[in-house]
This record gives sequence, structure tokens and C-alpha cells, in this order.
Amino acid sequence: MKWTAFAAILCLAQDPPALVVVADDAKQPQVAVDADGGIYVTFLRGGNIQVSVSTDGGKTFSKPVTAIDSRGNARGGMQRGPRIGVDAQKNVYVSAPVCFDDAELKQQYPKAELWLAISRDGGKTFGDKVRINEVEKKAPEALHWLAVTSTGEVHVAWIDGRTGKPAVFYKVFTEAGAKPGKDLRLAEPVCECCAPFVAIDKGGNPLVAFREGGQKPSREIFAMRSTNKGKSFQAPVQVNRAASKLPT
Amino acid sequence: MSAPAAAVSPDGKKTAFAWMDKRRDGKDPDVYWTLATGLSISTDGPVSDSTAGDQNHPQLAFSPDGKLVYAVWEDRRSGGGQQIYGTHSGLKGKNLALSGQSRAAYPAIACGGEMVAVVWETDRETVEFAQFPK
Repeated sequence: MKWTAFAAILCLAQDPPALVVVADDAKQPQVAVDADGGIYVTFLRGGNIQVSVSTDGGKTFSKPVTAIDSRGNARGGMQRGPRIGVDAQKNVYVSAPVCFDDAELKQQYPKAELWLAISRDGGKTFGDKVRINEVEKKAPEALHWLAVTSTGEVHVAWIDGRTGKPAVFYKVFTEAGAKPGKDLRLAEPVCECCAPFVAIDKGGNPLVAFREGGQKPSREIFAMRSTNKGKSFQAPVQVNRAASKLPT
Repeated sequence: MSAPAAAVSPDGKKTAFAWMDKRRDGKDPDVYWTLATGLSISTDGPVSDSTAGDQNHPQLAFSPDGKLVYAVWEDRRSGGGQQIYGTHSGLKGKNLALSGQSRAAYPAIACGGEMVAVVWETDRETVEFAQFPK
């Protein structure tokens, strides 16, 4: 009896997990894990979008490499940093909002575009970036989320103002990120300062969550599902069961 | 503001959501979550076992076998700088402190193989990693 109680206390006493510094002078991290437990972390560092990888279960991380050379101009804050995903071939996909327009960079709040860069060698090097949003200067903060299937389809949702109201737009890249689909408008108006979220099942069917927008005393959380790999989505369903009391 | 978080099980049957919510008093943010079959959502509740202070910025991930859903979030329950807390659906509401001495923010989580990886930023401008305790 005493031993049972002692064992129960041991089980409840939590040893803090071992912490490992992935990178110094870095912020706004996101993480992906491959099927073998390889860990891929992206973050903002020195105004660039960088990636560090662990292949030993998180004991050590590689020296950061630049995924998107933002010439030091990448900005973060809140949840505006890069996102990362990895497929079964260990292709690594990184997305981030960055402004490369010199005239725009002179503004206090330069309008960013949303970019995707891909590594075909497990995060050691990255290819040239491609723009995700089709219409320039309409997704100024490019608050977004990215999810990647094991077969290399890349799903991205972001806040885009091209219709005049903040909307969730969506795009799928197929062929391991090489072939972009068309921008798809999912919902509007949505919260202009809340990133949407994308999750994906093993069959490649995405789920998108977002906070609604508009003049309301309580902006609620909604979700939309696709059963055809992101070609179209079902009507949004409210997630929270009581008013969340987050006003406009 | 704060992005809602979502996760879907590998077989697509189960979903999980977490978000910042002020329903309790209209002031202090808490993190609520719900686990559902598809989008048939019936209940929700606070993910944290303490609503003292602010909770915010959740993220979720299903285990590769779809049996557990993990949640991490910022938590200011101690009244000082925020720390990273976590739980999973098998812990029956128990929370685990994940971060160390530094003030920590913006946690992210992902699962693959046997690994449940959590990262966050600190007020020392470092990015830290911890494996979610087994």
C-alpha cells in the first residue's frame, strides 16, 4: 500500500523536460517533424527566414541556414513569423510574409507578399522562393498557415484583402510544391489580425479554422472542411459553444 | 490577436480546436478547446487547470496513431512572465509546465514517429526546444 502511494506520487511529480537552445537571436518559431522523428524548426533571425534541423531526437540542432533571404527585412510580431512542413521524402517547405519592394520598404508598415521556399535535401539548402498570393499588395500582413501532406501537397491559408474585406484565401501546391493551384476565397469577413489555421489528415483533406470578422460584440471561431483535397470546402461550422466575448 | 488552432487525426475522423476565449469575464483571456468527431462539436471547455492570469496562443497536434491530441499554450498563471504549458487528451485535465526560467511565448508543436516536439521563443531572444514528456 505504501509503495503504491509512493509510486503514484512519483508518477505525478513532473521532471521538467530537458531544454535545448535551437538558435540564438531568433524568434517566432514553428516546428515540423518527419515520420522518423527528424525535427525541423523555422524562425526569424536577423531579419531572415532560417531553418535548423535535428536528426538526433532534439539533442542537437544544425547551424541555421537561410530558407528565404529577406535581406534582413523580414518582420515578425505576434503570430506573423514563418511556417514549416515536411513530407515523407523529407522535402522541407517554408512559407513567410516578406516585403522585397524597395519603395514599399520605405513605408512604416510595408506590405508583404507571401512566399514559399522548398528544400530537396532535408533542410540543408533551399531553392528560389515563389510567391503564394496571386494578387500583389493585397495581403499586407499575410497572416497565414501552412500544412504539408506526406506526399508533398502544400496547403496554405492566409488573410487577403483583395475583395475589399479581410478574407481567408486558400491555395494548394501539388507535385511536391512545384505546381501551384489557383487562389480560392473561403470566407469573409474574417478577423483581420488573426491568422487562419490549416490542419490536414493522412488522405490530404484539409481543415481550416479562423475567427470571424465584422462589427460584432463577439467574434466566434469557425471551421471548414474539404473532402476533395482542398478543391472546395463545405460551409463553415461554428466551433465555440458559447460566445467568446472577443469584440471587434 | 490570436490564431485559433486546429488538428485532425490521421484518419480524418477526429478533430480538435483550441482558441483564446474571454467568455469567463470578458477580460482575461483563457484557452478553450474541444475534441470532436468531424465537425459535430457538442462541448468545449478550458484547456488549463488554472484560469488564473492569462492563457493564450494555443497549438495542437494529434499523435501519429490518432489516439492522443496534444495542446500547448502560453500561461501567465503564476502572475509573472508567461510560461509554456501543455497537456494531452490522456492526462484528464492535468497540465505540465514545459518551459524553463525564461519568459516564454508562442509555442508550436508537431508530432512524428515517436517524437512530440515543442518549440517556443524566450525573452532572451532564443528559440528553445523540448520533447513533450512521455
